[in-house]
Amino acid sequence: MTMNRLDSPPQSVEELVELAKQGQTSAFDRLVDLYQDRLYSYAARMVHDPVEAEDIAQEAFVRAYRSLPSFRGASSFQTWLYRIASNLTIDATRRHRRENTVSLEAPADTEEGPVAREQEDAATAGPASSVETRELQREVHRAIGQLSPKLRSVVVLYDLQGLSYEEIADILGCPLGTVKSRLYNARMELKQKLQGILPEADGG
Amino acid sequence: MTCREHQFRIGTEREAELAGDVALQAHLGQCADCRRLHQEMRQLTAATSLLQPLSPSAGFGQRLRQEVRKTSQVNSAGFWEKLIGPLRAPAPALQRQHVFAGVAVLLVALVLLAVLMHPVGFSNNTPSFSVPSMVQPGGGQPVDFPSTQPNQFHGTGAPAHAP
Repeated sequence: MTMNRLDSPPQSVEELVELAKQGQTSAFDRLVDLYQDRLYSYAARMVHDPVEAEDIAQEAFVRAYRSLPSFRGASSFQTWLYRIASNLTIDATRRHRRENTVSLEAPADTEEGPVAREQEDAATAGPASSVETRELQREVHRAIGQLSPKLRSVVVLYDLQGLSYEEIADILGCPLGTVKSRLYNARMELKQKLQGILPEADGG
Repeated sequence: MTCREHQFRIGTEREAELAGDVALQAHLGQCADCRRLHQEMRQLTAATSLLQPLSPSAGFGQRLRQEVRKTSQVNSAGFWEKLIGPLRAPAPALQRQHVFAGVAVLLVALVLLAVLMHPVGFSNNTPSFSVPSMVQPGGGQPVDFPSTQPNQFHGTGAPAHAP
């Protein structure tokens, strides 16, 4: 394999992974640049705590870096990274359940705690958001937060992160059919929760 | 395909995939329930697509890279560095106490081991006390303890191992 140097930066993720495996931390830095926002966004949608989401994203990258020598490329680097983050969010959810502290299941139910509120604002901030749009965004964010972690993860990965069924099945370690049925259940639940908020359907 | 099957597809697939399905489109033209669900799913998808990606706080990327660098340094450290590195690193108070307690226990164990292996009070390399030997000095026959003595533990007068 040809050795790529930093004066001719490699473009593909596979090349960066290969260089990072050879010990080039600058190559791993580029992978961090590529995925940090996506991974953080996923973690933040899952745990609803910006600080914990940063911890999860950081830990996911550190673990990925440590385990890089054992990464064989059976799945894509992105899928592998998401899988690590997904396991960390599951651990965080379980830990919070055990500690019986502020629930991660339905954080937005609480009357606008500073963290939840701040995150909702961040989630709904847009350059041209009208008041109605912002309110709708906030409600959708809240409804997604009220889903169970299993359903939430599928909705976040499919609808918000744009991953395929196959990638999600690989990340969550479950069959394709399970991903589809979870997505169906999640959307039906969201539809129920957002009834009266979404514009009326005119299909009848 | 039944309504239920169509509805499952409507509830799980992206609009682009549904739009190209001729059979589904024909069904939607006839079935009000499926048409309504299709419309609701389109509204829901439009609403979720309004959500902006969440961004980490400023400086997160830099902190993240620093953490990875630390990991990188630990990975490339030699054997002794890995062994004593954690002791040198600033550790939380509780963790440091554990390390000190461990070292103290190890030291006590070493001292005890040394005392047992080299008992005090010996001279000329001959221990001042010796383990009672069953063999008489000078190579005589082993001393046989009298078996007729009453067994102190059982009190029957019979040897303890008698059937």
